[in-house]
Amino acid sequence: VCGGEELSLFCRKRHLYRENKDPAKWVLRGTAFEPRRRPSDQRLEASICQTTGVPIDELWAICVQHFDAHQQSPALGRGIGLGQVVLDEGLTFEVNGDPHPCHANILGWPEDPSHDDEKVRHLWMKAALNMAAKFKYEPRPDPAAAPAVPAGPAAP
Amino acid sequence: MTALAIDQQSRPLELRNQTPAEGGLDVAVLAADQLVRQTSGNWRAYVNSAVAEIHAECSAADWDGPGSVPINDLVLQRALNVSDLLRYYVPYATPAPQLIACADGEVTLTWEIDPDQVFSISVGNHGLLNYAGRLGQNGQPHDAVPYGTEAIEQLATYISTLY
Repeated sequence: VCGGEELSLFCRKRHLYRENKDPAKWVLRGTAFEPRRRPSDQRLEASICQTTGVPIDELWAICVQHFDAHQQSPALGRGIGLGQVVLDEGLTFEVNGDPHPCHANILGWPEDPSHDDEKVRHLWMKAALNMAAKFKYEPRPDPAAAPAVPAGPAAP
Repeated sequence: MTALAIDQQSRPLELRNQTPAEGGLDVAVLAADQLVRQTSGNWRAYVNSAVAEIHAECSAADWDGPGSVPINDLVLQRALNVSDLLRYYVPYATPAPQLIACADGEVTLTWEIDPDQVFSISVGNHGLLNYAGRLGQNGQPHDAVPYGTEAIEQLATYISTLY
């Protein structure tokens, strides 16, 4: 993922973005970026979607199949920003094409050797706040089209 | 004696000279969603409501997708305690924090004016309070501090720079 790549982060909770009177100024909140530990090996990662040149219909079809399908409610919208915003925080990308070709993981989150997350969480928060400030939020174009009962293949 | 008077007198000396009237000016420029929240003299009702909402939505396994950790009662109680303590140290016009449940089982208390003026404290099932902020000209503080009076006073100082 290069610095000029457009990235999208799907959001299903209203508290993950900040509204403004001017919708052009809606941005993500830091909590949208916080990493999770992968169950298989406890690696810290945050999922994101590479969307440079991806048609809007295709983008939301990916959301329906690979995001909505594994959540209690569908995405309300997406955060949009550049790869450089992530790289500027000293983080890296892994593009593994799983569960879809556009998928990438944000890696390189600071870690305590003993996995005491409470000692380093502030570093994740700092990076997340900085990235969120530079990720605009865009509501889902047709919320009514979102699936009411998710169904689809398992996410990694 | 009114609650306002009690709050004013119980603040540290360096914060006591920030009057409600001065704070009122700040309130006028806050975003609409922040105006809904009440000032530090009466955060409890708002925070209680937020805690109840989190308890209802986030206390089951996988509440935020596979692997998300339930928010337990201890974390919610700590979030309430931190909020209760902070309100005695911040300017009266400071709005209640937004409480946000995180997928790793922590609860974040956030004060936010805009993306460049924001401060968050994360409360979890342990003895540390993690915080990070973007405070404009006041920098980007971040650290993990042991829960206690000294930490609360330090965090209140950062929050006060926003209001």
